[in-house]
Amino acid sequence: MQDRPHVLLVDDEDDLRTICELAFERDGRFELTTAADGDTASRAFERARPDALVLDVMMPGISGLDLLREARARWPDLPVVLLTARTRAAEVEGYRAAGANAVIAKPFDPRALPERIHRLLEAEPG
Amino acid sequence: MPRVLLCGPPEDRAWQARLEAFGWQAERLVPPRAAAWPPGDFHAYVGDAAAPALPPRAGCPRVRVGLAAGEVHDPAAWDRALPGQPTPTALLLALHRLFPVDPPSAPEALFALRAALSREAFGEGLLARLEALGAALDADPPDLATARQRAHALAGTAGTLGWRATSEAAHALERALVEGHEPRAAWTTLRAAVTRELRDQQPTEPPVRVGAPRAPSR
Repeated sequence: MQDRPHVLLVDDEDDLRTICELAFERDGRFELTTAADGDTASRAFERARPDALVLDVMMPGISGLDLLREARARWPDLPVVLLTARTRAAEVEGYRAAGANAVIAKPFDPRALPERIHRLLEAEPG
Repeated sequence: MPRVLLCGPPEDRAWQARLEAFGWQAERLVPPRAAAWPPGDFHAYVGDAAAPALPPRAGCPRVRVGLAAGEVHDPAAWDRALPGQPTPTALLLALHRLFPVDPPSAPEALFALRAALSREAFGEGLLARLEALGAALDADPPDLATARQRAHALAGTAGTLGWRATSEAAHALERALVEGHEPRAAWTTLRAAVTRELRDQQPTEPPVRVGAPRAPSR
């Protein structure tokens, strides 16, 4: 049984996943699971639909953009947040075109991430 | 609040300071004249090779640190063993796993504590990351794609964990590599930023290497 929305965060950086886990634990509104690579995340997609996705754009192997496209093909309305240090206007435009709902520039305050997810879920139709 | 009895090398004052900085109570046992439990209750006893093996106490694990290579943990004398000689941060992390601190103002204080630990743990690996980045730049021929990827990862993670100057310098190095500029100046700036932040952010950390052999302290 799970009452809280489930967020799946994918980032190849151990330390970044840890600090985000702490931030979500502090916030308390979400059930967070993490994956260190695209393969693991892709397998998680097979098991269950998360309520929101947080994806690092630049990862070895399957990138965050690859995962975004895969997720979009499965779940057109799923809120997806991208984490990236590449935030030039053209790059952000490309992320939006690929289906990202929000783009957070690295570095970022991890405590702000749960609130961003909350707002996306509030805005989700239905 | 967890109360810990410490008996270690001279630098255990740094252990004590680090534990107390996070709201623990830490008391030092000075052997051999005090090779017995001091008055009061403790949540853990942490001792090194020279520490006396105190009698077992319920609810108070005796944690042995500084096991030398090839030395076998004696479970009759010590309930747990930590490999090598832990830095104050590593010791705090180990004890925190045994007794998660739940300050009155949790979860904000707990987040601050654990975020600070994560930040420090990241700092402990910073030089190794810098060396890996430098190795890619120094390869013959230079492996610029790998250097760029490592600079990118360092920029994003370091900044998120609070290592701002390192993050900005890594970002500048990544930009130099992306734009095809000579990266040496940016690399030098990055090294200086890491050195400065490690010096400024961890002034109390003693230069103890985990697992390094050391002379008997007493």
